[in-house]
Amino acid sequence: MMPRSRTGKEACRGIRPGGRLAQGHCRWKRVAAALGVTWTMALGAAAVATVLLTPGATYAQSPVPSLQTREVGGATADPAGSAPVLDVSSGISGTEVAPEAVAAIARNLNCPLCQGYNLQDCPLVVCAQMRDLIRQQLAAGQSSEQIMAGFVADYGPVVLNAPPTTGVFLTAWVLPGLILLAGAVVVALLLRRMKRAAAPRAAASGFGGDPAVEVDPEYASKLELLARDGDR
Amino acid sequence: MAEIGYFALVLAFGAAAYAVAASALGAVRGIGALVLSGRRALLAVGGLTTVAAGCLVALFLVGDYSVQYVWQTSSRTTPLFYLLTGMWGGQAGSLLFWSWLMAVFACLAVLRTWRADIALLPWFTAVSAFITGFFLFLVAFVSNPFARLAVVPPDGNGLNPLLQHPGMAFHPPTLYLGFTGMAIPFAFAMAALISRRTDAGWITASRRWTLVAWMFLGIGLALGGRWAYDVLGWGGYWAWDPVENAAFMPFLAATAFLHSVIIQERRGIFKVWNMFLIILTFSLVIIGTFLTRAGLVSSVHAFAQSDIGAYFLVFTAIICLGSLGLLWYRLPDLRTKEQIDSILSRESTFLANNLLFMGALFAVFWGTLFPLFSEIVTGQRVTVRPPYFNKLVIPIFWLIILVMGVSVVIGWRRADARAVARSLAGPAAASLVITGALWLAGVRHWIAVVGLSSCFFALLLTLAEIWRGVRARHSRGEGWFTATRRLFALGRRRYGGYVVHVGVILLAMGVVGSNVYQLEAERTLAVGETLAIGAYTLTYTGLGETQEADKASVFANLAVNRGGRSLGVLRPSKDVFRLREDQPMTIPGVMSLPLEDVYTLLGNLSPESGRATIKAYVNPLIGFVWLGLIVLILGTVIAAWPDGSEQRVMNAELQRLTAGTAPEPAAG
Repeated sequence: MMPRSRTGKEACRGIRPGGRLAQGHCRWKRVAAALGVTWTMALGAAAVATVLLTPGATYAQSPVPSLQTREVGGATADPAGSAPVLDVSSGISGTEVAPEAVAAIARNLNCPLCQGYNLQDCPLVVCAQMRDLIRQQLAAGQSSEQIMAGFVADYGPVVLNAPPTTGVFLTAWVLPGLILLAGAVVVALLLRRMKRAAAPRAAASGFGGDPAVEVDPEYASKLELLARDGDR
Repeated sequence: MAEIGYFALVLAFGAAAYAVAASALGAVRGIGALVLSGRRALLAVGGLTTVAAGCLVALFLVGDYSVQYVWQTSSRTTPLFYLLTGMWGGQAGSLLFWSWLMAVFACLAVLRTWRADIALLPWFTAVSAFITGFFLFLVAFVSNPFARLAVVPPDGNGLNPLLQHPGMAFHPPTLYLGFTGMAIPFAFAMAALISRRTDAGWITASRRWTLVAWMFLGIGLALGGRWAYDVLGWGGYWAWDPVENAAFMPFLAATAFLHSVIIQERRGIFKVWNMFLIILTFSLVIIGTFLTRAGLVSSVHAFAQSDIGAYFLVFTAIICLGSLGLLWYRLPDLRTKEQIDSILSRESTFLANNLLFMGALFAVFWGTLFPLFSEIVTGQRVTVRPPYFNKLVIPIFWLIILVMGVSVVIGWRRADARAVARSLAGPAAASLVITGALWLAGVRHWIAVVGLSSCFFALLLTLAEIWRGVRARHSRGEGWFTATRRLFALGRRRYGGYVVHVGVILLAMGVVGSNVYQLEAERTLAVGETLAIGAYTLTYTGLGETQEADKASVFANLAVNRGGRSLGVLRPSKDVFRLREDQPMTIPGVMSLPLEDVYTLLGNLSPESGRATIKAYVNPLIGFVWLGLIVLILGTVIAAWPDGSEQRVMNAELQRLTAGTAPEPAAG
């Protein structure tokens, strides 16, 4: 069995029999390691940035159509055949409006009648008419901000699929992020304190486990070692 | 029959009450006979609720419509399968089902572990009998499934069409299995607090229960998603609906708990935190049920609303305040010297896991309750729907995936930073290469790039870790198969856990693909016209209809073509159940191809002209969601597999280690 603690270089040499090969092997591995760590850190930084920045985004921002999951709905569709045929593509003639542009707005709004569906997925005729209204407004040159603001003026903020980012509603967006940050600070402080508490104990090499552990820890660590370091 | 069932229920309630009193008194006074009597009473509760549940099933099979509940949720034309599942088709039956599961679980737990944890069990009996007793009280005195109607109707009302789907038949019971299963570790934790045996005994005793309950919660959530995908007709599977969230929150808390108990078992620290997590998990189960039943949040599950909310409120208060109070009272017993050897250790990755899961849990919780909060504070109701949750929760899940991948190469106690970096390097480089290849193949949306590359990174790290274990054993002379088998047999929880991780990663890939690259198209078609979506052409060839005993359906025939090759015919339909004509169902026609699903819905149609509005979606990688789920179940089964031979195998291993001899071929 391999000894437990080794310096990095020794460990490196141990990887493959034959020192020279292992040396060269080590160099590119270190480069790759640096790359890997940088990449992970960049991802982490991007993550923090996402968590911090996205809450600030406003509903009126032109939405990414991609990450919007659709609504599960109250599942009351029109009885088959009871509603007139509705050809959605027969809006106003003239200016062409991409259906994606309409969908991007409609997906951020709720069907004002049924609980659940968003305006894009709602099968009700009223909602189709509202989608048509959005198309007309887009064709008339209104921005998505103006259209959404119009809906809010007509139906109140409840028509939006997510709370606005103003006033009290801002807490909806900010609080979870703040809690997570506070949690991160607490965990960091905790780790530091626990680390310090462990320092005087470092010399004594007793196992700190709980006596009631099902499997003898000594034994478990031996087995783990066997599994991990087997062929180094 | 109904009378027998009801009588059994009342008796069961009495027995549960007695079990609480006898066990508690016996434990306090140290009277062994009382403790044994309490145990027998709990077993009797199990038997009696089984009788009651059996009676209800029998009433369904016989079709006794004088019983209101049977009348409400079945009819003469209901297929046998849905008669058997009719028990959870409505509230009263669901509650009975819940009490039955709870009682049976408690009995099993008591029978399996009676000798091992004799000091915990009187209190375990008392707590679990108390929880069972509450549900029995509800079914016996508030929402009785055996209540008779004054007039006997000739036929039943029929099961809610929404529930007539295989996914829905299994979705509620698996969720209930998960919910009630979580009561077992909770009861053990309470027993440990009351009896002041706060070592890891309660965790060991309830570990498998927690794992299995967690798995059932997961399956239940996924089946709910499958049901939504197949029945609700909006092309997706998860909508952050308040009731979905209510079931998802205990799952998040339980996931944190599953991980953090490992630290307590290994290192004896975080006792208070683990107690808190299990209390949180079970409280969320009860709160979730309360939210759903009380209808405080509007949702697709509106049919589950009822007036038993008030009882649940009281019960929730007792469970939350009681358990937290108890924890507070016993805090001095739980103090440990919380120490770690290094910041870079498996212990800290578990802390990171807990932090992120708690963060996700809070975001879901806050989003679910925010409409309520907003109405109270501003008087204005707002809607909190996918755009909110996706923005807040998905970044956290992404971090969880990263931590999940990185943590497997960080060892316990003190990890060597260079060794860790070395282990990270290969998978990082490989996932960069894969991402590059995907970029060239046209996967360029930033969410897909970040999401998929992180998934590949975590996946490769996890697979590499498993591979390392197998190779280590192989190099000691074991065959590949034996090496794999032994590795999993010896580190069942660890490697089972890794398999679960692989499942979660696959699921995440499916979620990324199906959200970022979903295509959508809608058109009103005359016969012979086509709708093009992505690489597919759907040709509408006319309407058709079928008549069955209980329903009539109209469907559109859509011939699916890709690149000039015919792939088959899709038949999205509108189903109208005779007994519920006001509630037509839009059933999608779905074609599952290896990498994506073609999903079609039949919208409005005019019978005269034969024109139909067709909505079509292409959902890429959605198969990965279901595949990931299967892998997840497999991993949980590996981790929770009862291992009688574990000790034997370990002994053989230890002998080998100490003697340094060649491996015995027959071990394991």
